[in-house]
Amino acid sequence: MIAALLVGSTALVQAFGSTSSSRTFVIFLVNVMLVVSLQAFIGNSGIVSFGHVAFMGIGAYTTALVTIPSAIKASQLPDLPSALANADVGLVPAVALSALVALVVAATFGGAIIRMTESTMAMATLALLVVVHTFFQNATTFTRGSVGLAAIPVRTTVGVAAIAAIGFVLLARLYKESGPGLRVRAAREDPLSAASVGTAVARTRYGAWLLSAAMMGAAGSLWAQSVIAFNANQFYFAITFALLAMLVVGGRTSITGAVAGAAIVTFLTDTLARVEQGVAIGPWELPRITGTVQFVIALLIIITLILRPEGIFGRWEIDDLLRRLSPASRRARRAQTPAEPDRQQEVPGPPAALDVSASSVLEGEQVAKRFEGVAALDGVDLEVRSGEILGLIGPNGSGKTTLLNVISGVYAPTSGTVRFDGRAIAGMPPHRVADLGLCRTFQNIRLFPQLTVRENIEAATPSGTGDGPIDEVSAWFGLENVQGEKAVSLPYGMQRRLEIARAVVRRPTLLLLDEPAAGMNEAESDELLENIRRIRSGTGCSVVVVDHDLRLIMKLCDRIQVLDQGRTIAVGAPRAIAEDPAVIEAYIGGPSSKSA
Amino acid sequence: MSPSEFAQQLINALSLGSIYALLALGLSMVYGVLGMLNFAYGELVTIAGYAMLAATYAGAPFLVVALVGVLAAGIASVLMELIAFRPLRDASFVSLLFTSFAVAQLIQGAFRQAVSVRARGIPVPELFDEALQLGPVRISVLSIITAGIGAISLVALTSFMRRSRAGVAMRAASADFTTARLMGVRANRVISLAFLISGLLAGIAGVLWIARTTSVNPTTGFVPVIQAFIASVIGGLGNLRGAVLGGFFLGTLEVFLQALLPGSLLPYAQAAALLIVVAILYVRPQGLFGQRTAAI
Repeated sequence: MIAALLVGSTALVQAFGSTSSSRTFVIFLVNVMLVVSLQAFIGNSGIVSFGHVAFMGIGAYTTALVTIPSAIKASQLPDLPSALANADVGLVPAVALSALVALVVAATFGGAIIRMTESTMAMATLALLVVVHTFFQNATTFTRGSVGLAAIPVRTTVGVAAIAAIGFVLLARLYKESGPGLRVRAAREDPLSAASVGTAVARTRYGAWLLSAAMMGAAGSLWAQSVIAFNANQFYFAITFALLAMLVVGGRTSITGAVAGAAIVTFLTDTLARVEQGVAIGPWELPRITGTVQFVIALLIIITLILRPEGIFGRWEIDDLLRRLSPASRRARRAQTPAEPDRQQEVPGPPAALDVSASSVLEGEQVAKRFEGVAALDGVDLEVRSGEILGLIGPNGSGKTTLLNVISGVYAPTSGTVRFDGRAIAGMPPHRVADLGLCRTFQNIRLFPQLTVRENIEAATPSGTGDGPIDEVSAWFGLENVQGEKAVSLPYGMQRRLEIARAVVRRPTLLLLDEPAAGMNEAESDELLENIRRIRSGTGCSVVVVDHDLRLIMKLCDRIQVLDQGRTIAVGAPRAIAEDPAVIEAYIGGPSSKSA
Repeated sequence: MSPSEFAQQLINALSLGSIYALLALGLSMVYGVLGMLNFAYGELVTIAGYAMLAATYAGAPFLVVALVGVLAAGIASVLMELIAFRPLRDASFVSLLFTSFAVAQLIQGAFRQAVSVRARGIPVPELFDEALQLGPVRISVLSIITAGIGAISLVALTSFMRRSRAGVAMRAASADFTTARLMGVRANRVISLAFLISGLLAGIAGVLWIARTTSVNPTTGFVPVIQAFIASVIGGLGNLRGAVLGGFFLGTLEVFLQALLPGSLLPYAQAAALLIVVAILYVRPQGLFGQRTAAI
């Protein structure tokens, strides 16, 4: 859609524009390419990178070195190695080579920083900018430092820029909607739950980093071939600031926003540059003012952040408008019934006393977890049999969630072993545990709030592109009519169902549910009970349920394990547990109190 | 490197390190309390510089000039928070970062417009140019003063943070803002206090920095603040003690790299220091002195 707009405006400019407006238009198109490349990382991963301009510079210098005619090159850079001194390539090879060099640098540096936390990574990208800038300024044999290089042939015409810009936009769009792109966005929303449904967070982010760096290098190349000359001082904070401004003003995560931001800032810069020359407004002549561009853009950023923190376009993409207007979606919305689960979908089959085999799917032996001085888990043995529903209960602070965290890979145990399907998994990161077939939900719902219902479930599928029973699982949980809604806008009960649906779409062998009934009334709990039973009988997976709703636990579970202060105090069938004096004491009080 | 040269560089390291430590501390303090990285922090150093310039033109003796610089930075810091950051109190980390970036550009632009793009000289006492001779080692008076003032400031701050009510409240807020508020700590006061103290720190660091460079321009604060950012990250963001240690570490690294690198590679001293820091962070992502936080 944006592509169409760009084509349209290009035609207009070609037809009616003067040379100066043509020039501005090319600047705008190059800015679009730069900001879309930057956004491919910042928008999708949510991490601010100050260093991307380094890749732009690398692309620009690479291109300059291989496109400046040899004779002129020799006079500017007399000490170049002959391979470079003689290089003279056309537009496409220059762009490709620039992207490649940027990619190599990004691969090296990115490998070092990708496991850092968000704020540390932002600082590291700052370091990248400074280091590369220092290199540009001082490696005068290759760059002529602050004096700069000149006579780069102008190959980025309006037509070339338009085609390239459209290409960049399409590429960014393709990436955003692809499997890896969806997973990076899921990791942006909630890295922990993304990992718990199989996203290797660092690795996926690395992919976004590499792609955006290569794009930035290519954009830098096209930029160089439009400005004819540049020097080392240009790849530093001024342009970083301008690009970030475009993102902030237009919309950090929306490609439409990025393009709009580029338009706004380019237009402002252009107009203000004229004003700075001293312009006459009516009878008044404005004096020459320097620095207005920076000043105004800074103000614009601050105002935008105060009034519309997500940018003018927020997360809205222009294609969303088309989708809403399309006849198919209009029909769907009219036919939409209020979101109630389809009760006809009950899977018949015997409840709890199912064919629970004796083999165990999960074994934990003497699992212990200490935090500084506190022993949250003090040697717990756990066994989950294949096909069973095991309840895990205990007073607050007994270690239930800690145990789930250790099993699912969020924590490594201080000691003890955990075996899943025969494999030792203690200390494995969450996404690998998920890959092996162990999925979980969280006590405080951890969805991907700004992603749609469908995207939430899709992100959990093995490839991230939807190779899984998304539609069936959605129907099971009554989510088929809200597929396009953002997760954050769903009512609480539906959010819980969505979280479970997301964990189930991978057909896990073992499902861990952490307080799934929290905040539910009796009717909702009964429904949840049916859902869990349906999951077990429908897929044969084993389930561990942690909850405080004893009524639910008693009705649902084949066996129950009770924890207190990090230790197991009872394991057995529901009846036996209800009558166990140790359990009663832990939950209610001393032996003199009446039992429930 | 001979022992006397080593001693000399060590003093230089302590001197430069003090400046970085003060700045890193100020940055970490604000990060700890508000969760934001204040990109405009360097501008406080610039403001201190221009305040010193104004005081110098007014004919004040250097001691007064220095005091004016420190106070100007403190006041500017509090104002910055009130005007630019308070309206965005609950905004995301990234929004605050961008805002502070914008504020930094605004201030730089303002100075460029109001004063000049070019540097303006600030006269400093001749005492600073002198050096003491201790045996084979020549120590510049300025280095001693810088290191000394740095140490005094840090000690004073530590005792303030440990003993005074306001200081304890700030440390509590740094550790857990919500709980501190529930315990009766006044949010706005703590935040303003954090900005005031970090501003004063920037002012002291600024005065010491300008005493070395003897001039001020719109981008004066920029160079040391990048170092301060890196230093606070090495120390573990939000970790006050780590920030100080990180500052000294970075100062030492820079000084010794400059002393040991061959002439042709000298311009790369800062870049080399940064790369070393990134390598450290690769091995220890939580910084040298930070704590590895749990996954949740």
